[in-house]
Amino acid sequence: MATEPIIVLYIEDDEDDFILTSQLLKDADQPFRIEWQQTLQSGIEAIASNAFDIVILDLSLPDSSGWETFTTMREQAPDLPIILMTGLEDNELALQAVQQGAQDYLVKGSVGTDVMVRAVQYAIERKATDTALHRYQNELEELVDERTEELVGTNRQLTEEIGVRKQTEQELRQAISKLEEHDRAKTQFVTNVSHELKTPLASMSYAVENLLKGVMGEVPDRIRTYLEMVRDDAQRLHRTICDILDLSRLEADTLRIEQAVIPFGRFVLRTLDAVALEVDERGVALQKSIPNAIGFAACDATKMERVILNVVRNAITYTDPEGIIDVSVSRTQDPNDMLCVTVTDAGIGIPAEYLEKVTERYFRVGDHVDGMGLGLSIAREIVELHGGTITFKSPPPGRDRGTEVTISVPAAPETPTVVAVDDDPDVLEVVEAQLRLDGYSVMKETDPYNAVAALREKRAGILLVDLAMPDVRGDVLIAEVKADHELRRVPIVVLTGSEIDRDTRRTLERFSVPALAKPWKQEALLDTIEGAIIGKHYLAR
Amino acid sequence: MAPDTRTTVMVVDDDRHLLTTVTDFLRFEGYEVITAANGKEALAALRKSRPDVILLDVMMPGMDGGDVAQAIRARPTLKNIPIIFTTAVVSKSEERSHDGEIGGESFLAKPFQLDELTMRIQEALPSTE
Repeated sequence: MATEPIIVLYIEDDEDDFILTSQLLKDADQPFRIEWQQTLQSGIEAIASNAFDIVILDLSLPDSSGWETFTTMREQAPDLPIILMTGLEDNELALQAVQQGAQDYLVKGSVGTDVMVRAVQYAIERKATDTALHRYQNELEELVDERTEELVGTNRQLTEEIGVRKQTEQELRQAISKLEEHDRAKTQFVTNVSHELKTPLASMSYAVENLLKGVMGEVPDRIRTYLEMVRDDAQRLHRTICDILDLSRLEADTLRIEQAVIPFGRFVLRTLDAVALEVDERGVALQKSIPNAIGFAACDATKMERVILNVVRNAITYTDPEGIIDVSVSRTQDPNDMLCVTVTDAGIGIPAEYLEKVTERYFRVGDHVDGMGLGLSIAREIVELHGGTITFKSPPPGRDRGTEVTISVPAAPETPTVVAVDDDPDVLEVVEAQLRLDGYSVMKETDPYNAVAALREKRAGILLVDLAMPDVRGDVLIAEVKADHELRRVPIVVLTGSEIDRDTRRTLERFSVPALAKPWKQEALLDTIEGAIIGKHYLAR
Repeated sequence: MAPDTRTTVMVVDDDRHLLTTVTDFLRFEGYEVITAANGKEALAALRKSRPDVILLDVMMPGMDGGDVAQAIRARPTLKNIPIIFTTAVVSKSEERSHDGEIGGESFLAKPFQLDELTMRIQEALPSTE
């Protein structure tokens, strides 16, 4: 099998050594072609003009010696494998050269043909491997460089983007602060308008009210009728002003609702008291279907009252004398647990094409109707702030005329717990029986501090506390609860036996805590508790 | 619902008409009334007399209701007089949520019902026991 000859450049100034070494190679099976050069310079020139497989290099040459001979050659032929030929004394130097990239070294005269040939072959192979590795390494480095460049590019882009974002953020901040300023100005405007409209309205109302009360002397009936007209119109004007202010607040997004969990049925029932007079005057009948203990809802009582009254007043307006208006309260689970108040009248109804529009701001059905078209849109917004809906059907299902309006608000998931504290278990039994009937959960405690601990765990808790307990001063207990950050919003109702002392009375007034004197009627207990929840304690009076 | 003893109410409001109508009403109901058209007048009047309760408008030019309340609370002889703020700015639904703020007992939103005013006055008075 013919093998390609290995082409060797042998740089050696000693002819004997050359002959000796050449002879070793010539004896091998592997064919070698050897070119002999005697100086480093001539060897380098030979490399420039011919292709070699390997260089065999004597370190001591006429024009160079030792370490320098190796480094020069290495520099001139970085891709060629190099085997150094050394004398015994050069051992250390040769080792160093191998570490720096020479493939091998042979001590002159110490090797035979086999070792020599193997050394040459290994040197060539090792160099090839080294070169491949080197190339691979270079490629890797290039790749790394490329990636680095890409990263630098990306980085620069990111930096630019961050700059742009910062700019945008800055602009947004400016826009927001402008908007906030605008909002403040708007709110301030609403505040001013409110003041400017309500103040003269207040003195007008008081003037009329004074006259009607006889502050200025007896008023003849004919004049009284006129004064009542003025009083009623002042009230209507007040409602309208409140509507406009609410609308401004809605538009400025500053309308807030303050919800309290209240018994919905009783709330609707009490709300309807406000229209008793109007119902009579109009000559219509109000039929109420409101079951007991139908459930609790988180409502802003004042605002929800206005929503309900707005709908009911509409019904009164559109119902002819002797007509009937139905108000019913119901609870539905479909699809959500909602409490609904439905007002049904037999009035002119709403044309089908307007049904969708009646709660749009400023919308009115025709020009002959009173009002500004604000009431229902505000009603809708308030109901929606409660997480509820207001829907209109005209005519109501199963009827040929009239309108059915349903206001639905989410039922409170938990019924409020009244934590009742009294040292007398009998009193607690009575309280429990009366409150259970209306749907409250009741927790009975004889120790006030257990009660406070229980309130801490309840989210919708009400404290009902006896003021005449041994060992505990009711006013101190109230002051403590009101000073507690966690409990200060807990509604409190006190039960009183005999006279209240001065300090206690001051405490009750200071914290607007309503008191209920023993013995009480169930209705009074419910009213007082509701009043405390809503924050109006005139209810119990 | 006339009070048993002659209760003195100070009414502070920069609106003359409101001052007149409220004063007429309270006198008719049997109260003694001292009036003041602004904070300065109120503080001056308080040097000479000590009302049982003060009805104080919040939004007034010059010293506002909060300033006046602060000045009153700073005087040892006056600091226990209950103050009811009246305001056309806070709406009815919000009045109770401001209770105890800026140095007063409670807020009453204008226009209030005159009957509610007497109720609030009675409520604010220390018991006579």
